[in-house]
Amino acid sequence: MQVDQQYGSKGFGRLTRGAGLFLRNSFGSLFSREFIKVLIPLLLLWEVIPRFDILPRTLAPTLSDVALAFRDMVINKGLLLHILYSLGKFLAGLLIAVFTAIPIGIFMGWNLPIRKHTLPLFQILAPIPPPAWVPLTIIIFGIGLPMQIYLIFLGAFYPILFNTYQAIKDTDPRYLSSARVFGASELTLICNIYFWNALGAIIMSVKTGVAIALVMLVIAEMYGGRSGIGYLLVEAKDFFQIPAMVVCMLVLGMIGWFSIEILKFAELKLALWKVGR
Amino acid sequence: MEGGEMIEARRISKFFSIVNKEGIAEGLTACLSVTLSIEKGKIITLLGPSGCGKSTFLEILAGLQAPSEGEVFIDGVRVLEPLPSTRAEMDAYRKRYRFLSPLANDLFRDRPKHDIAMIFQDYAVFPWMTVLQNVTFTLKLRGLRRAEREKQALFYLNKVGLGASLHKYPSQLSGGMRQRLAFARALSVEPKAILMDEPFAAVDLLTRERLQDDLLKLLDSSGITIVIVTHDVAEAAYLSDEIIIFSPSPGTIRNRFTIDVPRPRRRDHPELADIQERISRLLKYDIDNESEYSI
Amino acid sequence: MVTLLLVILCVVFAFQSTQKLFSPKAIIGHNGSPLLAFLYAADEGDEGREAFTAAKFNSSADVGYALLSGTIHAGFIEPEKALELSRLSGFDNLVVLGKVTFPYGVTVITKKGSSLRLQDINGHHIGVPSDNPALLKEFTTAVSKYPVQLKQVNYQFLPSDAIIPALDAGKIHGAIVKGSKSVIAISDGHNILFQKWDMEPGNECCPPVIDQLEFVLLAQKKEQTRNRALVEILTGSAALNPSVLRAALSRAEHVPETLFADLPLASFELADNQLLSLFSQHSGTDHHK
Repeated sequence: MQVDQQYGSKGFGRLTRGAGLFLRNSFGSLFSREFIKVLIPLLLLWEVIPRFDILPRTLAPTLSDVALAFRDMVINKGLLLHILYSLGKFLAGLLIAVFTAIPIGIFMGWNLPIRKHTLPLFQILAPIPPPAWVPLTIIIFGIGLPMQIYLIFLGAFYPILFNTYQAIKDTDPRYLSSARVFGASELTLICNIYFWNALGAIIMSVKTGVAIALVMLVIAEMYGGRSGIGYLLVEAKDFFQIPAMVVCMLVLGMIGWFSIEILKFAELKLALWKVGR
Repeated sequence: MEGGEMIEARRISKFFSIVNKEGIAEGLTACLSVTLSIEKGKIITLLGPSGCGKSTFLEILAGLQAPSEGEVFIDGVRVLEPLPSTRAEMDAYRKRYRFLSPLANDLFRDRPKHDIAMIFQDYAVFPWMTVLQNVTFTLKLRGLRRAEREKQALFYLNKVGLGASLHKYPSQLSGGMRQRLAFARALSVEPKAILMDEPFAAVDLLTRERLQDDLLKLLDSSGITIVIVTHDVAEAAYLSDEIIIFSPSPGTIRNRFTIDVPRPRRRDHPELADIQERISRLLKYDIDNESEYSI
Repeated sequence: MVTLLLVILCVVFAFQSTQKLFSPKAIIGHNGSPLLAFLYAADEGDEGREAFTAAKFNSSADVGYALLSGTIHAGFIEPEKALELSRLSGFDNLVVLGKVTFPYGVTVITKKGSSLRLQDINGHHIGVPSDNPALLKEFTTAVSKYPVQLKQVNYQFLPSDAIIPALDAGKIHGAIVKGSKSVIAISDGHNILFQKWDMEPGNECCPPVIDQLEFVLLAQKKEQTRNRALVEILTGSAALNPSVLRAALSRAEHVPETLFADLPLASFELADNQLLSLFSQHSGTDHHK
């Protein structure tokens, strides 16, 4: 009761509490006491080994070199802006993939004739690894934002589509019978039964999609991007700026980790009703 | 169709074709020419060992499977036409049901075709909805407004004894409570008939007897026609007005027993014991003399 | 803890031992640039084929990394990138062997069909390569001899590979590019507004090495005899008849010879003291931070 009065029981209060729970879960699980015991020595080794030339320092930068490069990139190269650009493209491609693959997957799983007409096409196109699409994509879209978003979308699309349609297809027919007997229309079935039953599998597939989309983000920005972390990475590589490369790698890793944590949090919220048999 | 018949099944047959171990297609007869009339307000049990087609028959009654032959009428309305047998019929059937199977209701509108409810053994309730939402869901399908839905749902949930768990999820309930929820959902739409497929098979004996008593109390003079499929002879004897024995391969009605003992019954009533004895002997004879069961 | 240390030590030893991996024939890395005609010609010749193989990489940065790891013996890298490479400690094992120069100096190009004249350049947008800003200084110094006003010129700094597309798109009216890049521009139909040729050594502005220097040849320091042999072969190849060189180039690039018919060829020379001192200066500054 006290908490509600302090933060308000709806809206903003729930949001901050949810955010707090999320941060505590994600950072807490990563920086647990046990891992800190391993992490601190590793960081020390990272700092020390290049200094004593066990590994050459200019090829294996120390932690402080990387930190300095990070500071330099933030101040001089607008790293934060590039991060924003990358995130924007990543989210755009991912959201387009989610909002196209899930509906198509639902339709394909729900109705056999639809599936018979459409599935073989996807089964032919899906095995083509997304990086192989790059030349064709450049021809069609040119170099620039549409090409990058398309490649990211392509990376995320197929895992989400296949897992969604499979989960919908495998809905237990007894749930459907239960609803049909009471007169449920197909639309009601889709919205209330098919979708919710498959939601767990859908979120897992989005996790896979995120992983591939992140790879495609870097590849897309390498091929003629002018902005974004992938572009900074290639630029650093071309001019032998090793610490800057490490900074880019770490930033990309953090973006990926953060996305997966958000999805894990969503899964946690759904676990409430998961039937534990 | 005579007056007073709630459910009427005429010469229902269901054939499947399966591929056996050698890879050759074989015919399997689930039911063969079953004719049954069920009066309004009666409790009927379909009894028989597993795999004799009684569950299939129940699903055909509910309209969840189409019969290969025969017709079912619920309160005068036909349920699902039989599957095509001739080539011409098959072409016409395929054309009509090319997109949507005949089992499906309307594409967009919720339209209960018959005023019935069904309870399954497992997977009866939706795990992603709370207890209250499960019941209001089916009420919404009947077209009630929100306030009415909640009121009616609360009423029936209290009646089955789940009034304290309104916002819990089924995974947080015990097996018995889940079946109660299924009852609440079935009763809340106030149907003319309720079909149950082995509703108490998943719970232990003590809970089963509790649930049976609760069921009888709930149905007390409500006039709902009940059809139960079970393999528990004692349960059948305790609950029903009429027991219909199914025998396997092919599934046909072997025998019918009428029980005139007034309710509330004692489980150890001599007439019930006698009927149980006779049924057990009958079933044992079947097991000894028939060889194949497809369980 | 112990296993971790062991893993790290293994990585260290593996790293140091790759330095010793050499094949009997030297490998020379390059990025397929059309300026390396002499390399392709030498690769085809008998002497060359015995002494080395030319290996094409996707970019000259990859050549640099291969040099550092010791997988290749020598490689051609652009001077800006080579200067960055010289900051890394692996550069101690490398030596600047030679240079590739192209006779065209700093060039100003304009879009095809443009009627812009050098005198009117004031007030227009001019692109400058952001990774080679010295060109701007070259240009302003070279142009200072002429009565051209530059005060109101709007310089736009873009990455080198963005300049010609920006010119095509009309975002800039003209661009300052390196001599060799102007060749690409001409083949696309653009105009040359200004070009500096044959800068003399000792120029007061800037070291001419940067302006007309296209590639530097870096090699493993230890292999001195091999390095001498390579320089000999490559210098000899650069002195061949231009038609022979052009033929070799067209074969290597899979394009018809006529494309290069009117264009000059890049020349290869042993690295001179100016170049060597430039590198030793640069690598000395931030070698040990």
